[in-house]
Amino acid sequence: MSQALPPSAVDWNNLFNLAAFIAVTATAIVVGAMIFFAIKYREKKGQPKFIPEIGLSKSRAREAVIFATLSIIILTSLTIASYRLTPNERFPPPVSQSLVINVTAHQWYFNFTYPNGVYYVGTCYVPADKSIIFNVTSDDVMHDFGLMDFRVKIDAIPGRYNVIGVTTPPLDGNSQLNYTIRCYEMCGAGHTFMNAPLIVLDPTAFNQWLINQIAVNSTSSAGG
Amino acid sequence: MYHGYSLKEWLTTTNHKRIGILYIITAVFFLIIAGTLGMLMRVQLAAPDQTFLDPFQYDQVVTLHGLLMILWVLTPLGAGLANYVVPLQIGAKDLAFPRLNATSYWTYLFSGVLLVGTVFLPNGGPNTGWTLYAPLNTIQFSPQPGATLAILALGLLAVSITMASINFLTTIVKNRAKGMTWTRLPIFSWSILMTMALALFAFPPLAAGLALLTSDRVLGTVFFSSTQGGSILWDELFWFFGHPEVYIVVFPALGIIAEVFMTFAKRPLFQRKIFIIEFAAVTFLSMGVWMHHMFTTGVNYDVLQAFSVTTLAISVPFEGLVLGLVLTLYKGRIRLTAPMLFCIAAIFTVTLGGVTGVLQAFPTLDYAFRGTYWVVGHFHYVMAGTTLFGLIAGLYYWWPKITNRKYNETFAKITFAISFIGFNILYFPYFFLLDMPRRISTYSVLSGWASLNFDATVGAFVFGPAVILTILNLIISYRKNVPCESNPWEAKEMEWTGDYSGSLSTSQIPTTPNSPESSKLQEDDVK
Amino acid sequence: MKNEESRSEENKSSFMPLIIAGGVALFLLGLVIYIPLLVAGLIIVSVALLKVYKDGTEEKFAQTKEAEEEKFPLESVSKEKLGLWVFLASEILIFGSLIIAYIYVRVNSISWPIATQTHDVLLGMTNTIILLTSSLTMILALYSIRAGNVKGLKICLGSTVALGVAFLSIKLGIEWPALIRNGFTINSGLPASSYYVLTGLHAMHVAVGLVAIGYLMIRTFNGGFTSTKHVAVENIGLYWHFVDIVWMFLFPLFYLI
Repeated sequence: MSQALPPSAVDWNNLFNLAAFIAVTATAIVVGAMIFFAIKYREKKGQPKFIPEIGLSKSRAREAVIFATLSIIILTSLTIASYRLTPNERFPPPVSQSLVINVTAHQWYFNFTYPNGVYYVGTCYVPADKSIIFNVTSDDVMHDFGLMDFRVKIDAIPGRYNVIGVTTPPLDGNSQLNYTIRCYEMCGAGHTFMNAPLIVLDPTAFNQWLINQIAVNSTSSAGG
Repeated sequence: MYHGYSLKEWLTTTNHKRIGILYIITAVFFLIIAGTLGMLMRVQLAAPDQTFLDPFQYDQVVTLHGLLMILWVLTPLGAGLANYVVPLQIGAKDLAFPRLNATSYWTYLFSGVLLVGTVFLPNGGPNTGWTLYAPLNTIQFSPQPGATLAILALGLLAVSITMASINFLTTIVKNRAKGMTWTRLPIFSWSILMTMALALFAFPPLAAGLALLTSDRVLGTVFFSSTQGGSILWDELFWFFGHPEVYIVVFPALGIIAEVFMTFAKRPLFQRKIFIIEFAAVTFLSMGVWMHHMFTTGVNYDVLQAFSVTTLAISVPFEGLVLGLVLTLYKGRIRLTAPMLFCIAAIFTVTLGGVTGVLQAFPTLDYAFRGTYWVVGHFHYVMAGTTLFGLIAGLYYWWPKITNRKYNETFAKITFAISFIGFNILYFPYFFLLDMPRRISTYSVLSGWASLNFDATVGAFVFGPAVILTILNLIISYRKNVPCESNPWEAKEMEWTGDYSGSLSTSQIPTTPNSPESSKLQEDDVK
Repeated sequence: MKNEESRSEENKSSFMPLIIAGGVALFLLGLVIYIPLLVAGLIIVSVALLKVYKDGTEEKFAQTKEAEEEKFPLESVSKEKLGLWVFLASEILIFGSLIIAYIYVRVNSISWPIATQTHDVLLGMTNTIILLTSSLTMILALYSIRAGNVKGLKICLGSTVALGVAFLSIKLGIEWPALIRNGFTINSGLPASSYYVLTGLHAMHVAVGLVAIGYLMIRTFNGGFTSTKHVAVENIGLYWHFVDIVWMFLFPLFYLI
């Protein structure tokens, strides 16, 4: 079965479609007018010699103000529509109901630390239908933790923790959902290959995985 | 003998016309280098999993391409045309400080030589992207000496441009001929005034950042490697410069578009006073939008939202400028010459490029756009599109003035068509590569990006040669030496006629009984 | 092309822009790959600047008065003075950016040494008074020559140079060695780095100012200034006051708080 879009991506797409529609319409009007003028007002043979009319145009300040006001109204509406959309440190999801994962970016991989100390390199396992908070930092240079499927990203900056939150969708019949985390900030020669799968598991399967990991981590720390 | 002057005369000149020509030739030279680097990138990205360039090499190509194009090609090409045309437009004999002008040029040339020379140092040049983010730019993560030299070269260019801005600002304020009042000042000169004022404001913070970075790399300080804010400090200093810089790049082209539209539509600029006010508004506002490049850095969101508001605010007067240009064509007598065609294309790209920029002004939307090919598409539309097309239009437009020769108009129109088609095939796909990160040297076949990347490379092989053909057209026309009348476009602006009382840019200004008699300048001041 | 322009402007041609630019580029290249190139670059630039000074006395580079000029605004400000003010604006932005960077770094640091315990405030205060006095002597120099008092000009310029040299001597000869002996070196941490970079850049500007005032003194001794012709004294004075004002910001930011 195909994966449904995560809810944050649906919201983003809706906002984008609205903004893009306005943008494309504006472009079409402006460019269309220009091409229309360029064709309609071509210089033709036999036209009288052109004399620039001094003082020809009355001041169009009123029209300019109207245009500016309309633009401001459109842009303000879009701003209001977009303001609350992405959970970040300004509008964080409730910590008590979320799974908090610490993400550390390195040259050139990600590792993930779970609340009980479980530590996993290169792949991020998360439960379905849950609010996840990523606490992102870097160990060396600036990276970017990007989850394009959810339409969110946040920079991984050394010395700083940045917060981004997503809500994983329900599995909806799939055994697991596969997404990709990529680095979106130039970080050196390995930037090209700095990806990590984000695997959404059924909550029971996720808990099982977590318990397994505690065992793995403790044997490796005991043995190593 | 070169254009009537000996080699020694070219090396020692302080005359604004010859320095303008030197700037233009040098900028075209760097354009060919940077364009070739761009072609290399497109070859590498044409298909998945390629190893034509290894990642480190690719990163250096990306960095050099970006630095050269923005700072050593587009800005100086505008400065070169400004050098030639502005004194003619304001009725001055030369710039205010001619030897300083020459120093600006030679400093620019040597800084470019240093930058390109970094590829010959061990491990080559910088590999951080043109934005030189910290701490990747520190000696720990970019140990190669070429990176240090590149930073010094960039600092030297900042000095060159600062000298030029001091010169132009003083010239336009103090060297105008009698009767050339502020209201009569031609639009191209207004655009250069704004460009240079912004340059004066923008380059010192860059120089400060580069000084601190040099101190980090050479003296072992830790301004940018500190985990206590080092990354963000660079982000702030760089973008405080970087955003005004992109307006510095585009303003001369906007001025040229205005001049070309007026001449080839035989119309005065639509609502000239409002146009200039909007231009000033964009200039002023551009100093206050820089953090829209930092929407994902995790800085206080309310601050970022404020910058989103200022960024949206700047789009209003900017769109007003574009509308004013389009409305200049209304009821005109339009001749579709090559410069006119390039300017029409430039308006198309600035509108499309502009709205894709406005979409990025919303932090929420920018979360998806940041670091992806959407951004690359946006800035290539406004820089490789509007700016380059506008500057090429300026070259064609003022070619008869600079060289007294005609260029081949039919060939120019054909190369225009090829350029425009190639440009769009190359850059339009980028808007559909929304999840492809920037600055990656290759991608897997599973990503699904292969076919769009291949299309873009095809476009590159159309656009690149078309630009070369444009340059060739000009060179061949120079050699053929077909003489040209002194005002082949029947333009009414001052640099063509030596007389501003009938110029289109001033035809909306009512003449009064007290108009100065000396509206006509000496003949040889204008040639 | 050539013939129309040859009359008035080709006499202004000069190799110095090319040579100065080349010298600076050589200096930077040497900084990265080979120190002797750096020295060569410095020498080339210095010699070229001397030639520029010599050219300044020649007729061909004398500023020609533009026949009739549109003057509004800034009618009374000469071209050179306007150029200097615009240059000072760019300098304000450079120092301003560096100061803001320093404040940013300090605010974001977990801890920062106490200024009064790190620096000798008395020495800093002395230097501040020295610099302020040098601004005063510079103003007096201008007043002297305005009144036609060449002897007064010589004394005041000389005093300014002496005070400037004193400033640099105290800073570089007494303060900095003492700080370095205490381990407060340029790469011992952000507090030291920011101090040395900012005050070091300021000291470089003081040194350049002293060279400029030295140029004024040479011209004075050659009889170059009169009560009506002394624009350079005023303009270089402006630069000197600017350098002083920057110190007025640096002193409290580093020595007092």
